[in-house]
Amino acid sequence: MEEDKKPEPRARLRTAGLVVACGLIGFVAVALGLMLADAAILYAMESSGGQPMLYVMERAEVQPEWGVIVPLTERDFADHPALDAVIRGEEKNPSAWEWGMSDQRFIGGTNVSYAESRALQDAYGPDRETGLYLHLEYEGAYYVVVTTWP
Amino acid sequence: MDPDRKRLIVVGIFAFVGVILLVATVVLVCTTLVAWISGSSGSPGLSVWEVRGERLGNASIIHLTEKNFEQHPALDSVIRGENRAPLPWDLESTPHDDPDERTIGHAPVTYVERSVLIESFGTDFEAQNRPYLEYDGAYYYLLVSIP
Repeated sequence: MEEDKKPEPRARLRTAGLVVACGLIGFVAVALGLMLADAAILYAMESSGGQPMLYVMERAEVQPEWGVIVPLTERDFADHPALDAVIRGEEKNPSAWEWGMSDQRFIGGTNVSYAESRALQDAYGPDRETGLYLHLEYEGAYYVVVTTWP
Repeated sequence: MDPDRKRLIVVGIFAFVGVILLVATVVLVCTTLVAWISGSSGSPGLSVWEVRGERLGNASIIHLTEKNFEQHPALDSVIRGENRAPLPWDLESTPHDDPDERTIGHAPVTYVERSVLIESFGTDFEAQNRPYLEYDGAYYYLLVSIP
């Protein structure tokens, strides 16, 4: 009798281990599938004819509670040539402070690809947890980056 | 095959398929909810009117350049593109019911484009000192509506 009962817990353990292992493999398969689907969607969007835009606004003053302030470096401009063109290049086209909110103005905008729009949003868009925009500081001025995803 | 091993294989396959179905359902439900919430409120719209006459006397004028049209494709599409559909001058269907105004066209815009247009051209309804935009000898003003 004793010998007959012994293998049961071991078999249960083996079954449980197998379920967990197969579940994990399933989870990894779904994650890979989602990554593949994401890449396919990005590719489809790029060939859809839609035109994402990068826009940059300037803020006259920034209070610490409005969000994090990040100094822009040459590395940022090298990584994101579109940002360089809008803040200090040929796409800079500032509006007057008096239109819209008086402490904010339009600095410029340019066409970007969907991949660039997402990369800019990830790097300089609102914080995922707090929802607050990053304020980018360059030569004493404060900028906010917004992108469109048509 | 050993029945124990057979049972293990079946359980393993069920676990694999079960996890895939569970994760896929959660992702699908989240995506559908986000799409439904963002789609249910509609999108803002840009409207453009042309003006003439005395109102232009003391107004601020912004001369539109090619750069403005490149950076604001919706404005381009209404003033000189596929969304341009001007109505006659004598129709009093404009915000001010003024015979010196006529409707030029409308285009949908995103919330980001809306705030960019407001900052660039002062197009919100509350603005008292609204600028007029000049292009090719004609004068326009814009409003961006929220759904």
